[in-house]
Amino acid sequence: MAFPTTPLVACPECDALQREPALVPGGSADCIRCGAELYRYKPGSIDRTLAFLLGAAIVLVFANLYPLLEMDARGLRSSTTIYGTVSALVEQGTPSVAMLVLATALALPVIELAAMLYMLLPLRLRRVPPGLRIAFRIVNVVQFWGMAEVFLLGTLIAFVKLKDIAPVHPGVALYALGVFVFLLTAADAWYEPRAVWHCARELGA
Amino acid sequence: MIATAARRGLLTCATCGLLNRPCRPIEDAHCARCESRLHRRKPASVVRTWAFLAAAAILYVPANLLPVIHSGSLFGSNANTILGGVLYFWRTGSWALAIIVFVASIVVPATKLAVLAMLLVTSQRRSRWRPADRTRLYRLTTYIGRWSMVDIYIGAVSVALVQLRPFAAIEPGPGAIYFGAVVILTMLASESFDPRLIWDPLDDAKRDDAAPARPSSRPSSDGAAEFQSP
Repeated sequence: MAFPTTPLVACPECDALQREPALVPGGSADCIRCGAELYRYKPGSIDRTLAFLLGAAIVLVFANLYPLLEMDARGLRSSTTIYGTVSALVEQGTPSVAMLVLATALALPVIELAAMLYMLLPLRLRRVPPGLRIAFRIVNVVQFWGMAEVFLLGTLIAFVKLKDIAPVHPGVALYALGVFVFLLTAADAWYEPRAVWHCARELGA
Repeated sequence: MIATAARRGLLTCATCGLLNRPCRPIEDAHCARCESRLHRRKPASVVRTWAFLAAAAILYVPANLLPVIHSGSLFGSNANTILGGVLYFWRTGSWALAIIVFVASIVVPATKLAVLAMLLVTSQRRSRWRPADRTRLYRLTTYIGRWSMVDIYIGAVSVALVQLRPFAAIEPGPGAIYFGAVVILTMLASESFDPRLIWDPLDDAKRDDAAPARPSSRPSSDGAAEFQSP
């Protein structure tokens, strides 16, 4: 059990205790000692984050339904989806690597999207979702371990590399993945934990 | 002199950032806002970071020596280590890709191991050497670590796409498992390290003139720190 305190903030990186400054829109509060960004005032944080999340959820469907890359070697065709990379690794005898790819490239970004929507959509509709605290903590962990953007880079490099073996064509999912990464990154950039708590407090959580 | 949360007996929530004034006992304190467990410093930070770092350093050897990819065709088969992949890009003229893969797969993990070891040694020796720069270095290693995973993904996509048996096939090699483990372990290591340990020696040295901890004001009514409006 703990009691809250007055608007003081301690830097998470150097522990320096300081007063919370008032910010202009878009402004950030940086630690007086080590310069770490403590928080940022993002006007319309919840609305904008939600907009990007909803867009990301739609393109995510296409990113998973269509092939990522297609190869055409004189009549021998092969193609793969995002999940196809996971099942290929299982079939080729490296289930541990397959699980790593499944978790970091697919499962965790999906969980991040779902947990953020679960948290922000009701708040936007002026309701506090049950388990808000748990969803918040899930988002916090999953943001660190989800690596959709790194997977996109890996796919692009593989695309260039495999062109030497046989003609490779980008599939619908590659474009969709590109848009998904952009939208999820934008959602992360507009997401501000303080706005979540501020909104929840207004609603009496 | 700078006041610190530790000296005032306050605890920062590692998840939501709220500053909490815990009741006794401190071991069982939870954040008033998000209910995460509170710690003065990340628990067993130095020991855990060393453990993850040692494991990563050991696995770094097979990760680089064993092939991450076997490519086979009618004309024979080929085993590629991580460095082999970089050399392949270099030979085929894709210099930009060679540099990206070299930096992400070889330079970044090695630098992370070295930087975290340096941060651990200096904070264990209670060094007061350039704390702001060391904190910046820590921030950088935390951010870049994830990009090392790119080699695993290149391999995964290649394996999935090139299954044109009996003409050509790419299979994962044993090095991929070790390499994936190195990336995860170095990420766990940087997550376990607490950058506030860099600053503690500076703050403890001034403990003589520290004021005794006492409440600065009464707790606000509902458990949330103020969200500042302009």
